[in-house]
Amino acid sequence: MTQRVISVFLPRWPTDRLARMQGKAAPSPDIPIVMVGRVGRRRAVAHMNLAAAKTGLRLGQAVAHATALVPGLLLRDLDAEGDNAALQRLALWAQRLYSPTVAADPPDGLVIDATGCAHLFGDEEKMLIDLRRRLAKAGYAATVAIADSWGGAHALARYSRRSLFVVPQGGLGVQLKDLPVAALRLPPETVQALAKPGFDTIGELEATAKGPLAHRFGLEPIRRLDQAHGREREPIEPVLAADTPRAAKIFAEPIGAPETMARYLTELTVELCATLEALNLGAKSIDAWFYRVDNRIESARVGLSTPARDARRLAKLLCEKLENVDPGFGVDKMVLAAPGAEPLAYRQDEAHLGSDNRAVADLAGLIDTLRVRLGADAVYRLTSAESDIPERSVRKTPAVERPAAFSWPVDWPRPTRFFPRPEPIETVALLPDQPPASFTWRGVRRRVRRADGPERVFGEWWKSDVELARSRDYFQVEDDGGERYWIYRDGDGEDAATGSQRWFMAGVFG
Amino acid sequence: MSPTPSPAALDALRRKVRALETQDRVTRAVLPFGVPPLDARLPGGGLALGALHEVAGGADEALYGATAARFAAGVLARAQGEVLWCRRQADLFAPSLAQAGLPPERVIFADAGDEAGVLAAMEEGLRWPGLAGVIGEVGKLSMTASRRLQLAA
Repeated sequence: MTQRVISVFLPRWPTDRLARMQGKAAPSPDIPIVMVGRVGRRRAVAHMNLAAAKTGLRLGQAVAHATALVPGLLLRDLDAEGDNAALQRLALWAQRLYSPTVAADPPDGLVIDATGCAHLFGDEEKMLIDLRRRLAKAGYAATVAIADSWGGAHALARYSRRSLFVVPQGGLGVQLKDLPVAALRLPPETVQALAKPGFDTIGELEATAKGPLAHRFGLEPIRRLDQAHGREREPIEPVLAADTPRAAKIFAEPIGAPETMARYLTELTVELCATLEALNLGAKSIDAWFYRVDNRIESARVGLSTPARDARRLAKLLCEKLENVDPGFGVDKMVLAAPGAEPLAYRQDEAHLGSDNRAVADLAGLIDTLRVRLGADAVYRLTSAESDIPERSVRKTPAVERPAAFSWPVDWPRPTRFFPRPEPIETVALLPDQPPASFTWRGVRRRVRRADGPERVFGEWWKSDVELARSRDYFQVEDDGGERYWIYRDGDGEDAATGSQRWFMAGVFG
Repeated sequence: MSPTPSPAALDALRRKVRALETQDRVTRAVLPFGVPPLDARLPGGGLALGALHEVAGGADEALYGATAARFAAGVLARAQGEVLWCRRQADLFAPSLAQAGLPPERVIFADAGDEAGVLAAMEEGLRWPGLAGVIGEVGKLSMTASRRLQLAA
């Protein structure tokens, strides 16, 4: 599988962070703020907010000069260490939400290995939109890009002038061509040196013979060029909170056979569970990283519905994930971590006194197995919701807990099969109150023998204005073969405001 | 000598053989329907527990399985404990199950996407102790698959 990497660029990270820390006391965003750093013995502008950028100040300008140019300029000392620490914390936050492999990309970015993660959000674009929205909510301006390589995504997030950029697989070369050489993460001296003979864009550099280039400028430009185009792998060393329980193993010889991987994974799980036990913690999720010999890190994540540290059960769940892990030419390091572990104390089993809780707790293992195999959303329980509209009267709840007892009307017949999307049917019916005499559904015409109804359901006007006048009439009908169906008419059969007056198949009775 | 023995004699013989067979068989627990005419015809007086049962309908019913689902829900309503219901997609209507006596809070639903997934989820559920029953909705059940499930049950 091609790697997919998200690069997040936080152009105003130090000032945004300052504003967030000050909360309500923060000065208005219209006031220009400059973060002051040191260049040698000179105090210089190291960073500025948007308002300050509009006044025409430049980075690296002497502070005395800047204050003279812009009246009312606020000066703050740059806290580079604090910014970096906060960036690490932001990476941990992103790790919880988006992908097990997230790293801080100092001084002002994050890098996320999104390989195989995007489908959880719909698609890659939706994932990026979600990421930007959450960052914006926290007060951080961000531009994001997803591409086949870290270098490529990094360059596009910073230099493409688009706040959100999805580069399709294999489409990186075209997009990188016109970007300046500075986008390659090269030291400023190298960029200047490259500018002298006229290398301004990545495309020009790419078109040049590599031998003379290396001879004159060293290997660094070529390495960065290869990384940007995804020809050279760049591992993303995942961030881990210092107190995260973890277990790691380094192999003298790379391993790759599935059985061997499973065996060591099980060993590591046992080790991790012992650590968790010593700390009285239970894992809520387990991340596994497999460091490949070809400089690539594969990862797997298992989520648990209740905190657990049962080594056998966890090892089984992790081993199921192994089939998605490509060991390539071999794996020489394995790391297992349990981020966000929760307290899990020993508990005396209630003797079999007919308590319901016991049975539910016992099922957590089964639920986790099914969730790992089928996806987290595919295992659930159902409970009733306060609504008379049939499709809204059922609500999913987590499978681990028994929801409160249900309350649906018991005196109205309800079909066993219910189509989440009602299917339009062709009918012959007398308006306004009669059930149809016949209807055509899925290409088969059925004559209605018996019918009962209508059961009128009104729109929930408190939810949206459109539903104010809406109503539906539900009928039970029986065809020649004795099959019974639940059909409805959108509207009351007279007034156009109540609905389209078309008929729909809602379900099949059993 | 008459080549065909009387039906009565055959019947007596059959009963004798059955009695001999059931003597050393472990008596299995059953879930009676509570309807005497039905239970009397089932070995042991009800549906055998720890076994695989197939519920199927004919005609259009084979397509939608509405009656079969409601029937299965009705059977499991009388068993104690949690039920795992594996299906390809979410087209089951919980209020109807409740009307059949199976309150949905007792049911864990698993949407498996395809039939292979349904069978795998069923097997996982059958191997787990403490479930009252596992229901799987499949279009066709091969001999291998049914044997696997029977062994797991």
